Amino acid sequence: MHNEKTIKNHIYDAAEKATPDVNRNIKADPRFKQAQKPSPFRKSPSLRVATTIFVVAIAFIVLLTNIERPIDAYSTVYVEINPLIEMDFDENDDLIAVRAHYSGDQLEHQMRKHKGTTYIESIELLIDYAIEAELLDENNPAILIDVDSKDLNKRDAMQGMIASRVPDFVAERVQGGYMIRGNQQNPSDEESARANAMNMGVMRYRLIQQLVEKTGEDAQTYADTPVDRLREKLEAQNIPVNIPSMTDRPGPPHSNGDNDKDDRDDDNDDHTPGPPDGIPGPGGRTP
Amino acid sequence: MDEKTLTHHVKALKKGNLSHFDAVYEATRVQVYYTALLVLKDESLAEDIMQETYLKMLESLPSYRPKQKFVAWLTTIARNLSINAYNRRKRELYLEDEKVEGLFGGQQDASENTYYLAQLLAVLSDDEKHVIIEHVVLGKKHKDIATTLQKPLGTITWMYQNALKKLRRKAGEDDA
Repeated sequence: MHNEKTIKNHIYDAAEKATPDVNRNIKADPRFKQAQKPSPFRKSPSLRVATTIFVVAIAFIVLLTNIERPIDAYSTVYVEINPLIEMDFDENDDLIAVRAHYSGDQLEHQMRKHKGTTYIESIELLIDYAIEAELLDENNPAILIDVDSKDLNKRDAMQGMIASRVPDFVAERVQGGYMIRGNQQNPSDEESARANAMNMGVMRYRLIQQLVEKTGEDAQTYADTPVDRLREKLEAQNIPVNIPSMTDRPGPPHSNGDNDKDDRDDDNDDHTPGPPDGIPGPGGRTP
Repeated sequence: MDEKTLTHHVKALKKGNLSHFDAVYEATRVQVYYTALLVLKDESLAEDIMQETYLKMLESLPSYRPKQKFVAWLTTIARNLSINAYNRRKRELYLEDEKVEGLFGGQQDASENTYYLAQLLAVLSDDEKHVIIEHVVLGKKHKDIATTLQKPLGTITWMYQNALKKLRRKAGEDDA
């Protein structure tokens, strides 16, 4: 009886016997003798340890130099285009950090490449990226911007510069594009939590709150409403919207009793300058 | 020789201790030779390649990583050297207008042991011999043989079973 195992053993034995022995020939070859010589590149254990330490040290240095150390922001620009983008600037107005909230990861990633640009350049770049991402277009033409700074004079200057440059920039690129001054200043914890719960930034939440207070509707109704539509609804309710105009060019901004929502918000009186005189409605913006 | 013992000898050899060469050679020579033979189908050429494989192995050993199976690494060297030799030979034979013989088929001066193996496998077709050598001698799985021969796994399994039947029948006849 020849089972598989027996046959396999038989074949293997025959194959083994038929295998030639070349051991002597191999040892007679000069290359065999050479294999015994240690390679000049073969490292001693101590050299290996030294190399390892050196490599680890280099890696550590490279890692340290690449770690982004948190730099204290001197000013922050808040841009609400649903998502909300926060851009930090140093004392020289150079972009040092970007944070996106509410699904703005792509914009954050794109803007991080532009560290070192000024706040106006940064806002303009962000607007271009937002247009590219179809976050800003003729159906969604409004951009909500606010500034905060350690230095109140600096903040006023930045607000003035933004008001003079950004509206035209948006209007040139987006049909009916315009800018609204947002109010990001000093949100209470409760306000921040509510805005967060509605998956939006404080500036947008405050616009909705103004509308809800007047209409008595549920704030959630407007959770997905674009800023432009919110502006329309606010105006329909005779609630003024803070839109910079031609009269709002650099120079100290000043208060207007009718339009200054900060006048209604006592918490913000100390920090937020009032909007300029004679702020026109959306009809006054560049089409 | 078990895997652990072979690994021990290979490590020592890698450190330049050539006294471990014999152990490594004995544990692997069958696999190396038949790897070359299956490609070249020429015993004397396979013998040359076998010698060359071990010399190349000693040269390349510093780059060998123990995570890789040593026999697989060594037979890869043998296979690559054999393919190169086969291509060189094919060009020469083309010029001489000769024909490559099958496995154990063309050796006028085959040794007694080779003759015995050739007789043992004589009832098999060349493909069946290939499958039997790969599986029984080289210890390869049917799946790997199917990949090497670029044939479906089912075909390889069928060829192997068919070859076993033939060998059983032949063994029965020999006994009778």
